[in-house]
Amino acid sequence: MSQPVVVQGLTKIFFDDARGEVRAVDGVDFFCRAGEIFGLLGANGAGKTTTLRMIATVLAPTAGTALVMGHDVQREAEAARRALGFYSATTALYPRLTARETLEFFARINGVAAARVPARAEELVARFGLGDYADTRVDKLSTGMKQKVSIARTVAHDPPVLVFDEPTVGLDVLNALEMQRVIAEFRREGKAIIFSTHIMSEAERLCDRIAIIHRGRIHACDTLENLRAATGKHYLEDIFIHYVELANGDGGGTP
Amino acid sequence: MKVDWSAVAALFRNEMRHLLRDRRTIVVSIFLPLAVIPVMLFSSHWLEQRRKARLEQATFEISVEGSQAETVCSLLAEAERMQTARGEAFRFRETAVAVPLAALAEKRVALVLRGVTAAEALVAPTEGADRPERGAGRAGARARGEEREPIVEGVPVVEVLFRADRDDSQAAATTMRRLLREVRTERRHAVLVAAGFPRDPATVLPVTRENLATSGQVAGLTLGRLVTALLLLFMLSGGAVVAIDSLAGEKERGTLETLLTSGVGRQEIVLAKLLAIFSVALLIAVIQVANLLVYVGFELIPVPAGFAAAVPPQVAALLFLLYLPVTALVAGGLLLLSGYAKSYKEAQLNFFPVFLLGVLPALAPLLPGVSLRSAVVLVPIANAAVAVKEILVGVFDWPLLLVTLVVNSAAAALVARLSIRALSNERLISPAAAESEHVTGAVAFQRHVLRNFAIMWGVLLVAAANVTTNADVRLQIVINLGVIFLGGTLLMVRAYRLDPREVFALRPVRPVVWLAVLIGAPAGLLTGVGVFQLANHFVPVPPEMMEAFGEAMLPEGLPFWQVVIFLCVAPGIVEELTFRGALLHGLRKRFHPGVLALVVGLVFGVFHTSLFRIAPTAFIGIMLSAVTLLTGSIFPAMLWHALNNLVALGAARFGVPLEGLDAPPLVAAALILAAAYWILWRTRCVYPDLRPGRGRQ
Amino acid sequence: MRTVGRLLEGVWPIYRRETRAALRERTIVVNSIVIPIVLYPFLFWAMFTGMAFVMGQTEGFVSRVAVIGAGPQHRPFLTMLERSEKVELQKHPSEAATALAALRSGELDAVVEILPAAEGGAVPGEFALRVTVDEAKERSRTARERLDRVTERYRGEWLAREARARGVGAAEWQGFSIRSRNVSSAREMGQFLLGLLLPMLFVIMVAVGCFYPAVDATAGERERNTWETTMTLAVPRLAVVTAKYLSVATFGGLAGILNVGVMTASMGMIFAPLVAEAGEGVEFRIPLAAVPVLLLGALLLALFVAAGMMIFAAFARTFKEGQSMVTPFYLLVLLPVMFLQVPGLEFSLPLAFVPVVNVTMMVREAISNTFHWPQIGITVAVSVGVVAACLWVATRILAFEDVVVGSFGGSLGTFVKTRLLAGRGRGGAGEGSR
Repeated sequence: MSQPVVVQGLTKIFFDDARGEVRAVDGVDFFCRAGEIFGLLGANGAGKTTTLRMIATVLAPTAGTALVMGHDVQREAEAARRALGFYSATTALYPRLTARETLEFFARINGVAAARVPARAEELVARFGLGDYADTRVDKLSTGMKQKVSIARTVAHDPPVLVFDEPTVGLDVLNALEMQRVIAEFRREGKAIIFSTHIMSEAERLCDRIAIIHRGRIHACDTLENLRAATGKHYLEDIFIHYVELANGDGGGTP
Repeated sequence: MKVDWSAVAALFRNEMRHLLRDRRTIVVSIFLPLAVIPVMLFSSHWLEQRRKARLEQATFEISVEGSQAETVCSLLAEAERMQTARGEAFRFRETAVAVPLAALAEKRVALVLRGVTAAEALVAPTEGADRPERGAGRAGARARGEEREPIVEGVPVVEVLFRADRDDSQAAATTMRRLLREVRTERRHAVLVAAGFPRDPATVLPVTRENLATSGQVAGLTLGRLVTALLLLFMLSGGAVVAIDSLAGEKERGTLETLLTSGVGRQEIVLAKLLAIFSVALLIAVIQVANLLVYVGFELIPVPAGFAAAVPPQVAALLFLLYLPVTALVAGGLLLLSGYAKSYKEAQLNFFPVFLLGVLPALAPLLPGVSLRSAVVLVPIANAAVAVKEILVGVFDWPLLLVTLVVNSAAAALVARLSIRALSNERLISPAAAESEHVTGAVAFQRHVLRNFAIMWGVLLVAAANVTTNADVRLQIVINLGVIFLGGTLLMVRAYRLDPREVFALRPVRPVVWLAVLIGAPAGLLTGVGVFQLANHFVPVPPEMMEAFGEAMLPEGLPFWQVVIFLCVAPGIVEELTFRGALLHGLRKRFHPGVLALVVGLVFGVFHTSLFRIAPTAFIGIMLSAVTLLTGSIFPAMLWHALNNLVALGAARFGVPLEGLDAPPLVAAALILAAAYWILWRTRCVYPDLRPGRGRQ
Repeated sequence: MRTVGRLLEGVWPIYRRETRAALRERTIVVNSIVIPIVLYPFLFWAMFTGMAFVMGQTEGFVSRVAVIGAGPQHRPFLTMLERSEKVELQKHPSEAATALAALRSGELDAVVEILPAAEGGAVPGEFALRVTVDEAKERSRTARERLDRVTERYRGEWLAREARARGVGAAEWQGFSIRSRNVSSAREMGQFLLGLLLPMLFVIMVAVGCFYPAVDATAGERERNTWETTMTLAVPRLAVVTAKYLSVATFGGLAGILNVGVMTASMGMIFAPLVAEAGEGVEFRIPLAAVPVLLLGALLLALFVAAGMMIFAAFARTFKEGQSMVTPFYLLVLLPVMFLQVPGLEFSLPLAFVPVVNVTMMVREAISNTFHWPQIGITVAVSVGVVAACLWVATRILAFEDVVVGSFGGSLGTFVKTRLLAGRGRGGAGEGSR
């Protein structure tokens, strides 16, 4: 398989003084094609963020592998990072840089050749409609504008893989819609997009394939149609609850 | 390791730009101190000048009393004559008061001069002198202005009564004593000449003093002793502003994750941040030095003559070179501090220990006679401080200067590597992985144990302050051991609802362990003595440190059996319960076993509240911790501790000196100790539930 | 009157909540309670034992001295040198040039050359000395001091001998004896030393104690997003602010008092034995009469510092911002205290009019059991006046809604410029970006 993202047996165990071993992610397998939005659907604490952080090389897997454009996230972490853009509600911007400086900075450190950096920043400014605010410091921008800058910096180096970790958390309806629109646009550009959320409607609307993750394991992974067919339920919410109850039923041994 | 320098440059630029735009922080933490220092210097300088001038120009009211008051008055007249002849002003004025000592107490007079006959002086000590006379410490008494010349029969005595708790009285007494001595010398010389001495007695036995050192070198010594500490102060406080914002601040803002998911490596990130802190620290140090030099120029800071000669340009360049790796080390330490904090606030809170750790070694040149040709050359920062002092007094020890540079650079590199590791440590980078906050019972105990011991230490200090002064040794021991140690420990066990058997490691051991303890304890004591004798060859170890071995302070007037109970058995039981019991149990998961033994030993040492006893007691503490860790039980450590004290006390009691033993018995002791540990190792029954070996990060 | 009642009713529960919350905040507990109790005594202890260690080391060194050109007639002088404990005569080198080289390389600490006395009227047995040292070395400096003492004594004895030989009686030679004695009691000495150090630490601790609670109660709450919850409580807004203010002041006063107590205890434990070794009896006790004055001082100082700090911190939206905003005020409070290091400064009437300094002087005098009532009266009046002024400023600030809800984007300076000086109305674009 030479898919942009391939995840096999990915496992993450935290060691905690209070609780001992915690298996946050437990043997997860999936892949993501180019031009596809792959959704990770799960409740809070299900292991979505941990999985995505491992793909983004912030966390190191305890076991298993993840390949981003063929680069192993552990052995070739930098190459993997250059091939992806990571966006989450917690990836903030430097408040005292201007929007343009932010874009230039991230383009530069993500490996865009120094000579091309200003042009690339200009492209991004134009594409995301930042023109009037390009030279305003980020801390003076409105939430919506900040979000745009944030997305722009995610794709500053035009990576083939994009990882969005609950990108719409804390956004109002309009901004959330805008976010979804942008993500859909990236799909059209042929990027492989991994997207996590706990909002059913979002997953329904956006994702080509959906993986339902609960307590660190993927319990189902298919297109929405196939999931509907498999469970006989129409709404994603019902499908989700179906799998979670199933999981709780047979996984009762581990509290 | 391949480093992408262009990425480092981009990161560095970003770092500096971001910092420079934080104008409020810059003003508050950099420019404000810059402005405050001169104000402080100027005002304290001015006040000190004023004080001096006031004392110099003041005319002191004095009162004369006693049966020989007239003699005193004539002496005063003579002193006045002498000073007038020299063109100096005589600044004492006699005032008639009813009760001179009362007037002194009421600040109406600065001094009371009392003339008495020798017989009177011998019989009646001055009233008002309720302080006990101490045989010891004459030097100290002289330094403070007390003087007791021998009383010669038939010779009148002039007593200068003053109050050391008053500035004017002290100053007046000092001048008065000098004048009286000068008057006496003049009189003696006159007597001698009158008796037919052929020459002016003042010129007899001339002493010429020569000094090999140039004034530049003398100034260099003054400067060299403090300059490193001062610079470190600037570097640390200035660098901390950037450092804390740099990692902890980024964590808090959430930009760290953004950075970590970008296409640069962690080493590039650390390098860029290090470079930023390094440049700021260096810049601030340079600015501050320049700032100080300006005030030297304005003579707000007094400097010894030859100050300028001490630092010619090539020396300044050499010093700069020496300070570069030190700055890098400081930057690394600060970055590490920032990396290990979860938030800005936490980083600030942790700053103080790092600050001490940095400045303390820089005080090494204050130790008299310390030279770069000693173990000091291996201690980062301290070696640079000593090297700088030597250079400033004109000693250039090139090979050791090179070693100093290498040691500091290596330390800086090591710290930088640790910072990179901190960036890979998941607990540190993602607060989401942090555990829940509300815990109780055993887990809470582990988290609070060090804090609780710190409180216990404070209580110990306060109790000692209020009890030790004149209490019986036995009472002290009962309070320290019985109330503070045992009480504190039991309180912790109760408060956290712990299982005493677990906490105190009350587990049986194999019989052969006892054999190991029996031979190990005395051997351990002797080995300790040997280790410190050995250390003495490199760094002078104060004799107090040797004496402190095994708490060999034999209390006087106590029967030996009581000594054994109070100083061997009781500490053996109680101190072990507290340190190898509660403390070790509480920390067992926090450190790897080796470090754990070290930490427990060190805390044990610190609890002996005496600087000289920290190292020896910590040594014993480490041995005892190792015993407990290997046997999984506290009983062997109890016996070991008691035996250790018993041997030390027995040696003191029966006059067997432990210090100054020759090498053979010490080597033999070390071998026996090794054998004892070998037995413990072979029959080990390791302390349960320790922190597992270092896993993959 | 009803409103006052309602106000007080609101203050107490909020005060309790504020204080309890602060007690659970690590930064505050460490800075207001742990540091005064543990850290300063620890530093003190480390400093003094360190000093004792260095002094012991200096004393412990034996001075290596080479005497050049000694003949049999100089035996008494050599004997005196040998008998002084800390001087060790070196046999080698016996030549001046090599001895000086050894001095230069640090193998010797001093070189004493015995020279013939200058011709012309030399007294039999007289000689001259040349003492050479290297003042760039500490050991050499110590050696010179020791040699100076020995030669001075030798000279004295020599002259006395000469006098005796010429028939001068011992009593006539002695003339008179000088004795000197400090008549302050051990307790008075202790009070004097405490007075030099404690007031300064007292102010520092009150300021440190107020600092973090002040920032936390304002900026910290905004950062944690609990500010709005607090502002929508069903009590007058003034009650909220008063409660916060009192809570901050409590911490400042507490830190100051705790520190004074602990410092007194640790001075008694650490410092007293050290000076006792030097022949001095010092007893560290705070006179009972000083306690009310100390408490009064803590109260006045804490009320002032808390008010000032909260005014500055009121504009901050994050903890960090709060810190930078309060720091200048913090330094402003501490700066005058530097003056007090000078001994012999009297609590004069003009000083009583300087805020902070007057409280410090009052505390300093109280510790040494001196009470100047007029000055104390002025101090109280001035302090109350300053606190009142701060509170007035605070109410002016509270009148601006955007400051209260935390959407004003600027510091006190900006505020004064755009609001108080520029008259009224909404000045800047005070829109919060969060």
